[in-house]
Amino acid sequence: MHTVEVSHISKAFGKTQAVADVSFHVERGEIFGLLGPNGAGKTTTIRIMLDIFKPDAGEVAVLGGPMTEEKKNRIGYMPEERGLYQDITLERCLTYLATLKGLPPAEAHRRLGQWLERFDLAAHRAKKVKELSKGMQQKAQIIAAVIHEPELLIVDEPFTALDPVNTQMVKDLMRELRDRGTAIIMSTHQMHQVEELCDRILLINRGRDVLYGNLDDVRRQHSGHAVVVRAVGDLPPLEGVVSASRHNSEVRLNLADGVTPQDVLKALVQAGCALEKFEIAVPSLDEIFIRVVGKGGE
Amino acid sequence: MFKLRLIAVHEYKRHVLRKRFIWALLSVPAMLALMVGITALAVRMERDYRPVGYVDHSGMLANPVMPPEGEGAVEIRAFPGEAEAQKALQAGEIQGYYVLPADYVQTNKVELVYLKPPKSNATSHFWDFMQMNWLANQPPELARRVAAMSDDDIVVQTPDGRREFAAEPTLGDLLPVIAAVAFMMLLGFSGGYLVQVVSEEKENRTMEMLITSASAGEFIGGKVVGLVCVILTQALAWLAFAGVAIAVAQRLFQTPFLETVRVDAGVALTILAVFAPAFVMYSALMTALGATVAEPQEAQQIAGLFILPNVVPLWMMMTFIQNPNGPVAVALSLFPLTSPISLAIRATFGIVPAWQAAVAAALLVLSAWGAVWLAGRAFRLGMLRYGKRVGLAELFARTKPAAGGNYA
Repeated sequence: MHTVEVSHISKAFGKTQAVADVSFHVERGEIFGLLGPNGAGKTTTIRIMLDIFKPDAGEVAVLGGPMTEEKKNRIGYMPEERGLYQDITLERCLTYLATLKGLPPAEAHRRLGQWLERFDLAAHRAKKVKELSKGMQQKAQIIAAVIHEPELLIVDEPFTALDPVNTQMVKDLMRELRDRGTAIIMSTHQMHQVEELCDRILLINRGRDVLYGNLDDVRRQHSGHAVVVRAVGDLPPLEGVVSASRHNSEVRLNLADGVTPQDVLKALVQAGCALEKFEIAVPSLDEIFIRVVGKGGE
Repeated sequence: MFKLRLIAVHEYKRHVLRKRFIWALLSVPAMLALMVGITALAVRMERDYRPVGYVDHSGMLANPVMPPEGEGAVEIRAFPGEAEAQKALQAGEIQGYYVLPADYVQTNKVELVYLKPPKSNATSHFWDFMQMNWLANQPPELARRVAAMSDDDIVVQTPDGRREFAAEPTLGDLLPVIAAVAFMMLLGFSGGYLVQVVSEEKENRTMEMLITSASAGEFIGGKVVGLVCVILTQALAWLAFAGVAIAVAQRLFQTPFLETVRVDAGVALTILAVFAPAFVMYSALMTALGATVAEPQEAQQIAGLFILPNVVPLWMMMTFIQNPNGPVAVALSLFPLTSPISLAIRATFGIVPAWQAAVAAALLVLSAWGAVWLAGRAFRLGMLRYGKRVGLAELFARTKPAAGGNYA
């Protein structure tokens, strides 16, 4: 049973088709990246999953079936726009949100103490939320999403406003939750974070899914017919290489049709070239994103 | 139900712990204390408890009968001659003295001698004294009754004898109107707060967090219950303050206005039956407003409009008094938005037929239910529509609520 199963959902607002025939699933114990440019339909998809919106077509199964009030206690959600009460203390705000997720007050209080310590917020518990920095509010929002130990965690831009130390702390937390079996859906524009954290991704553009699958598979699918080489000295002339481009000490060799990386490696070895690095050129997720979204936009 | 209670408790605490609420709570006792204080000061300035004297040349007061002691009573001192009275006046022992000439019984004329005019409590008490002595030859019981008689003895009674209204009504007679004014004040203080809270939650995106933790029904229900508890707290606190103020004022002034705070059971029941659902109705309408408008400032401005239907019956008060069972009075009593204040006014000046009170209460219960439904719908439609308002047509359109949200 998948933690989330989204099948062919569509949603229109007036004449605007926000989501069109999007399908994917998320499994227990994985970090799933939900990617897409601004206005692609990511937030609408999340809101449909959470039953905030009803889809015009398609079906969503969360934690084994349709969303129910009971299941809300098993889901953690951190929306893109932060939603905390500004005029009450941090402790009161988070305790309230935790009890709304079904935690008894005493347990909520106990867990909150631990989380505040972990996120270096214990000294600020009596401050009003509006008195905290953006980074602190971001951490508080993350605590609100995880304090009840959800089976499904949905986070929208979790690293916004965080410094490198806190970013690392949140990444460690997400890996820890994944290892404990939590299914995590992360929506972000920071592709390097996706590359570092996500197991699988879905790229939505203009409401449609355009890329879906295991991150390594996706990158391999989009790898060009090229190799990256770093050698001691200049490279010899090679047959089957259409063009070459240098990036610092590395050279990217674009290969002609019918020429394999193995052919090039063999030729380099035969030419007595001292190789320091030889690998198949795999594009970064940023490059794939720009390529796919750019193509869709043409 | 658990989450509804949580939301209600949260809203309650959030409201009652705010400075604004504390100020609103204390403003009434402060105002009452100020009123009592100013009145006490004014009364004190209008009172002088030094004796007044008299010199009787007519012989009428040879065996004077003293009037009963009451609030403002002073000693009435007899002087054998004007010289002694003048001496006491100059010494400041008395406020003044009356001289009854030998032909007083025929002319009914007296002379009052003073340095500064005596205060009203002293002159009033002296005339009570004179009245008692004019009646001295009458049977004591008759003398007492004649002396006590005034316009205040005229009491208007309803045909069934259930309600009475004296020429000078007591606090108890006016309680329905006082309750109506308190209703409006509570609505003004707390209703505006609810609109503000909901629209702020929408603006700062807290709503998105809440709706993934509780249902729309729990959310709206919790807010309305929380607010009604806040209103009850405020009402009970004001009632307690008013009770203390009445007790203090009664002790200070002993005015008949404060003597009777009894309320007719039927009137109390009518007020309770219409005010309770009316609070729920208005609270839910304000929640709906908060969820549909684009900005909290806009919500605050529109919230004032909810007070207007309650003011209409006050504008029409003369019509109500002249014809408490006329078509205008009945129509406004049955229309849910105006019925609480209309019924309270009518209950003050007459008897509201039981069927009208029952129908008004039933309509208000239905309206409260409808308002809660509307608030739930407005909430679902408007909660994620940032920076945009939900139109009335959209609110009542037969579409899925979820179709109204924003998208990204």
